[in-house]
Amino acid sequence: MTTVYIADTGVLVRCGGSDNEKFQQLRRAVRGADVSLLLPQRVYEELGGDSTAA
Amino acid sequence: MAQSPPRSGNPPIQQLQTVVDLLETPTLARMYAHILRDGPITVSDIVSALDIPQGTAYDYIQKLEAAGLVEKTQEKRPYEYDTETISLTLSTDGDSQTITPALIAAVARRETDEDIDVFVDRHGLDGLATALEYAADYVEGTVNHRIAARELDLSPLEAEIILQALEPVVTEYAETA
Repeated sequence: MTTVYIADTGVLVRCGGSDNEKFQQLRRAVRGADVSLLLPQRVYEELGGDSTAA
Repeated sequence: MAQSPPRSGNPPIQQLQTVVDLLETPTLARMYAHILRDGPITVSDIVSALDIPQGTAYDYIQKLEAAGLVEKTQEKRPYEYDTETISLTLSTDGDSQTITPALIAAVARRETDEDIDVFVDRHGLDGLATALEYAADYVEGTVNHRIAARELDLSPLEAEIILQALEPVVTEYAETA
């Protein structure tokens, strides 16, 4: 069984950019647990993603 | 030399002018917020805690004292200062906004928190005061960034950023409320 974690906008805002220590901690935790974070389309768009991207 | 005003009967307009200065001068706001949190405290303790020039600190303490926002808690050197909390409600044309210690503390963070600084540049102090109210609900968990974005007419991302930036202020002032 695969566990999928859904991440809301707040998680990624709190983590900051990829050079931020919090971001790296999250990445390590996610990789260590061998899980993926799923970004809903709405969250992707809120974070500035292209709304027309598949 | 200006004389220290008595404890009661602080001149209201002078007090208002100093409150306006607090809102416009993040260093002054930091000083007020620091005395509020850690007072009674000496000016030299403030200088080392906030890393501000000594001359500035003495100028600011005189300004705060003259407006009755801080007072000496002992009359011998080194003087220690403490403050009373302020709550000043301004009404204009049916809109009202209350200036609270938490708002002063949020302004104080402009110097160290770019997110708050940018937000104030874009949305003004009224925007900040309103965002602070939503931040309290956000910390309580009764409002999320999407609701705040809709109510404050911000993008969800901008709402999330300012709510998170104000979180420490809300947490600190909820404890002292």
